Amino acid sequence: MIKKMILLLCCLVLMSGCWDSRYLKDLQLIYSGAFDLEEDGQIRTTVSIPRADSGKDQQAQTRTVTAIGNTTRQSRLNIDHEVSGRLDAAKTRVILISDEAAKTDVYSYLDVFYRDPRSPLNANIAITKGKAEPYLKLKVENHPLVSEYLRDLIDAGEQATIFPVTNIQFVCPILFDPGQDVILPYLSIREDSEDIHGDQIALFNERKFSGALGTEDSTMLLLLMDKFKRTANFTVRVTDDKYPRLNDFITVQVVGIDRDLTVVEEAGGIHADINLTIKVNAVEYPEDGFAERELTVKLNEKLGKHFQDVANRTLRQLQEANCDALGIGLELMAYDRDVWLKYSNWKEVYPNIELHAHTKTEIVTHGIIN
Amino acid sequence: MKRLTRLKQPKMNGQSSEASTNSSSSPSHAKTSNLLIKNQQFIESTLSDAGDLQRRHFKIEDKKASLYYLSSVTEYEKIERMLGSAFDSKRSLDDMLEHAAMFVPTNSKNKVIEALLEGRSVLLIDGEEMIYLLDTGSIIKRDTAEPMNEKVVRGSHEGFVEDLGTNVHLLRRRISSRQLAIQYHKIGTDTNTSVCIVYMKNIANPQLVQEVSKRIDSIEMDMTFSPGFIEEFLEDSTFSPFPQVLNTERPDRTMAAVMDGQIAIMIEGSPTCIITPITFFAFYQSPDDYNSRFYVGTFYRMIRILSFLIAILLPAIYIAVVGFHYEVIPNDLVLPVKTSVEQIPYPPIIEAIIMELTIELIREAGVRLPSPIGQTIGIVGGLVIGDAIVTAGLVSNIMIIVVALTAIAAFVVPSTEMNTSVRILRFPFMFAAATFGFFGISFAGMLLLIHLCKLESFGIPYFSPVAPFQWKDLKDTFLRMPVWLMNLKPTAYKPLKRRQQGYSRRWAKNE
Repeated sequence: MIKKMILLLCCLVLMSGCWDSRYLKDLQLIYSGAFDLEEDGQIRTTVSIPRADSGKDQQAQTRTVTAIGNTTRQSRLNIDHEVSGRLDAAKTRVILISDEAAKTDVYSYLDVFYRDPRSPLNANIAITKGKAEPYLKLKVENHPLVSEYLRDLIDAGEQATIFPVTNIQFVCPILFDPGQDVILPYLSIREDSEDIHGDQIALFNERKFSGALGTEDSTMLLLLMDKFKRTANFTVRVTDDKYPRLNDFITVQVVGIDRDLTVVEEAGGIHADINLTIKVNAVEYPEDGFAERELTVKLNEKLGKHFQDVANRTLRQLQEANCDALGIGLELMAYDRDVWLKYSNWKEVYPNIELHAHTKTEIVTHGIIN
Repeated sequence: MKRLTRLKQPKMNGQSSEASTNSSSSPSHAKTSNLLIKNQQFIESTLSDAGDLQRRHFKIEDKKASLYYLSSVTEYEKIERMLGSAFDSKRSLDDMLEHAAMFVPTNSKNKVIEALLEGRSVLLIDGEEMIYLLDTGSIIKRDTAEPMNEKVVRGSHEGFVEDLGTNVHLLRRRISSRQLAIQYHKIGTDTNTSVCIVYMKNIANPQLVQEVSKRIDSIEMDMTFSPGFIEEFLEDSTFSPFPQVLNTERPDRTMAAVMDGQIAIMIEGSPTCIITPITFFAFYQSPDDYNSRFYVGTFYRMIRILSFLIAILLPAIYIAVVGFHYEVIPNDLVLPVKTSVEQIPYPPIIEAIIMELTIELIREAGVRLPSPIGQTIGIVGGLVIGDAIVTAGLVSNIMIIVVALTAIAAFVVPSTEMNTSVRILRFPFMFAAATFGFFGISFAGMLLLIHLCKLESFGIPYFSPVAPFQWKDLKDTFLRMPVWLMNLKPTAYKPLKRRQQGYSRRWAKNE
């Protein structure tokens, strides 16, 4: 008996955790992944694995590995064959999907994440213009880890109300919601520069990529959705006769919004109206003259008109892309169930509903100078 | 077999002879005789092997008299002074023996021997049945200096000493109440060590007092030398890792405990006082808490309780995170941690054990060595081993941080006993974490909580006031509320009297 106990104790000490431990030192951590669609329908997965050299000056390095497979999981397993140590995606920060791939069905690429309990639920998802692979292979100065760079880029966009705040977890319920559609950050590498630009939003029709919104429009869409984050900036031309030319412009920063969405069925159609009051802070206006009330009134008017135009343009684009990012369907589902049941073919109805925005703008402050 | 019996033989003999001497000399009803010669014979025969037994024969008022004392424990000047002052006066011998306070008469043979062993001198007078005891014992005393391991910033800097009389004196001076009870007991059939229990008659629960003296009286040993020795005879569960009595060398702490209805046990020859019953949280209180402002007291008390958790859990959490759940490491931290553990050749549990044992080694060596060398050991251990072991790639630097934090956290506990318990307790947690990860930690934590809730000290719940939950007692457990708000004594020790003060700040309302 005592011998058995001693044996058991020794086993506990010497072999503790042998069967299910996953030592951090043996793992290869995926920091970001990119999915591309090959011409023959196969999936090309690219992952970026950071490697920090142990030593006093730890300069992080990144290794990028690519593999092709029939499914995302298969392609990842193929990557595992090329990499020493076990591959692990639990610390992934950014997932990139090429717009080509997103046009087919974005959920198919994400399915693998929802089935694994160790998935990185807070990883950002972004759609890339063109192939996603080059984005991970990009060398960015001062940023040895491209994954961190992408993450920071998306973070900054979220704070500036350019991108919606999304991650793998937030996206899932919207993907399956018949009354609402997903919007995701849309990254691009422009021809004139080598850097990644993050200033657009990808629109989805159900699970398919169906269009993109430019910077001003994306911010306006987020304001219309009542998703104002920390800041949002607009630069608007208010006159056209000043010298130098920059005196024609005013840059405003949104300080607060007030949004009201009403959806009603009238005369056999759906009417959705959004009343949006935008309070702004004038952060740059070289002409000045805010001391006079009239100027403020005039600027309010000009800004208001501009914002109205942008809002109209945004909503038109939204309907063209058949993307119900505003959740009009969800609103109907929640407050007017009979109507919702009547329009069971919501995706066919939505592009033709009466969707209008009514904006009002107010300059509330104009910086610390008078 | 043969050898055993042979070895046993003399032991048996010794026991029987001891029993026989006990039976001949110990009965307390054995009376002294009125013949001087018989009393002399009795003393000489009982202490026949005591080379330090001194005898003086002289005459007082034509009566033969003898003085006996043990020179090793007696102060000669005292005898001289006492006898001199007694016989210089004009009073007659009979008058003197009757009235002088310095002569304590007895007719018990047993008491005479006991008195001699304690350092008193005995005066035998021919024709008198009574034998007179003179208090001439010599005492070598140390200063009542502040105990080394229970220092406070402010407050009393007094400490108990090895002499029981002095210790009782220190307590008596602090509590000059008619309710202060001091009960003497003897432990050790050979050493005859005095033990005294101190409590407040009107506060301490009588059942508790009875239980404590019952347990002390039932100790059957030929010797005792330290409180740690008798501690284990008194405890409810000896196999628990937690100490169930509080050891202190501070009179102020003892006094506060006695006033809360606890019982203090003091032993001749040891400056340590045992306080019982005790609750877990009492180990995390320090007299300093009450000497500082209440925010400060509360803050440091919280820090101490946090230190308990750190000391027990931190290495376990590190092992679990690096071995099982690296997902919980924040994104920006995962790469530095990974880099640090990348080159370690063995699993985290081995890494942790190497470092923890090193720290324990340094500590043990530091305690035993004289302080100048102790410091050197600290530097060699801390700096050299700590730095070299990382450079050599044997242990990750995160592990060094974890171990250092844990070691510091363990030393925060004001009580040495609890400190060592906590340091031992972290090993089971480390194994649990290495076997099952966070699941193992919570499992071990549950076992620990169950044990703490079940544990009792003299029938008093050890984990009070958390389990059983006492809302009002929390004021002085995790927090240290202003003293004038703590009107009631803690319920844990079931005191007879709960109210300890009235409202002392009536003047604040009048203004």
